[in-house]
Amino acid sequence: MNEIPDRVLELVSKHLDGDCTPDERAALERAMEESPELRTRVERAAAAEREIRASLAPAGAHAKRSPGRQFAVAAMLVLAVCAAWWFGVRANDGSVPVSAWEAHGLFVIDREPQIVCDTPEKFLAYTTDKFDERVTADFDGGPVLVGWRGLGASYGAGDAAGIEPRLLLALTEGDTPVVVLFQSARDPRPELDPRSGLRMFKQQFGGVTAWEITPEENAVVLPLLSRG
Amino acid sequence: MSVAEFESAFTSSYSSLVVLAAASAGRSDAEDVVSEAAVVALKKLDSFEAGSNFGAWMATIVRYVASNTTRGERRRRQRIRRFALLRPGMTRAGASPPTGDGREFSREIQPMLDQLSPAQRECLLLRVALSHSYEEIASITGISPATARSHVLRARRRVMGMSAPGRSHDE
Repeated sequence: MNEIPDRVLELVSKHLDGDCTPDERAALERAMEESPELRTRVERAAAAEREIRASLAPAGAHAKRSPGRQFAVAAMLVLAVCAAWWFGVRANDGSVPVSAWEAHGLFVIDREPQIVCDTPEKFLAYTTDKFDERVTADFDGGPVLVGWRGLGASYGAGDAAGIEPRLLLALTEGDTPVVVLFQSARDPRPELDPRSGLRMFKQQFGGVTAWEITPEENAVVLPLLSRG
Repeated sequence: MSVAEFESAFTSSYSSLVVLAAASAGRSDAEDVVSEAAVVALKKLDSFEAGSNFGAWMATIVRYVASNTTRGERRRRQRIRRFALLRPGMTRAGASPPTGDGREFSREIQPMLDQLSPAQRECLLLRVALSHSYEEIASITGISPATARSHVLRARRRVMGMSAPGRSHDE
């Protein structure tokens, strides 16, 4: 059986949505009894939709959140386009003040960091895994590099093609520079609001381009990085 | 629209936008595409007309960014393939196409979705993943509820590998 009448398709669709009335359920059951192949295909479709639902579960879960939860998510969502620089990120406890991002025109969906590099070994493992490039860091007692997924920098949209940005925020005791590591066929310069007074420094580590954005005259983190 | 209003509207639409991005760019890039789209939208906030459909406006941007991402990804895969030809047996993780956080549609599901039209894919995923009503699907995709329903039915027919009576191929 390769054809399915519209009437039966309607029943199948309702069944997959879980919206069948008892009568409709009985009618579909009769149709499937008459055609074991229809039953097989319905079951296959149901399995496929279960898998789709599971794969998109985080998006689905988000939609079902309570208003309070939604508000909390909104509070975590940071949107800004290069305002003031000063902010205070001091702790490396995984909780980054929202204000830390507002100065950069950066945007984060998930507040939980996916990567924390606080030893040279972790940083080396990160760069080797993500970039296929051995970049080492000597930040003994210095900055800690923390990375998020779902993070986009303001330069990202127009250059989305061909770019694999991975953003790490360097947490330091003093001013907080941002370090962007990425592999790219091109080498776009991040866009910064000229009024911000921020400075950018670039360094190449094999196939990895690193930009440091900092209020300092000199790069703070880049000198600590080298190619392993 | 202020940035605060954008933030609120974006948060409300986020799940739907991720699903739309997954329909266009694939599952693993979906969140990144939506993030990029938000950056684009912020830069174009002035062009958003107050009172118009925010979800549909964002959906347009998501599709645009997804399209760029897909093209870029295709080029990147081509580069990787060329590179792999030069270095047979190369299997290091960093040389593989990006997989985001590792969530992908499976090898069974992706071909099913690939055979659908973009509109069918979007409507089906919004219906299945988020249990959206046809009115909600219509609102975010900018089509009528009846068309959204028709897309879902046709998508399901194709996923089942079946055709309408008298047709060998359901368009």
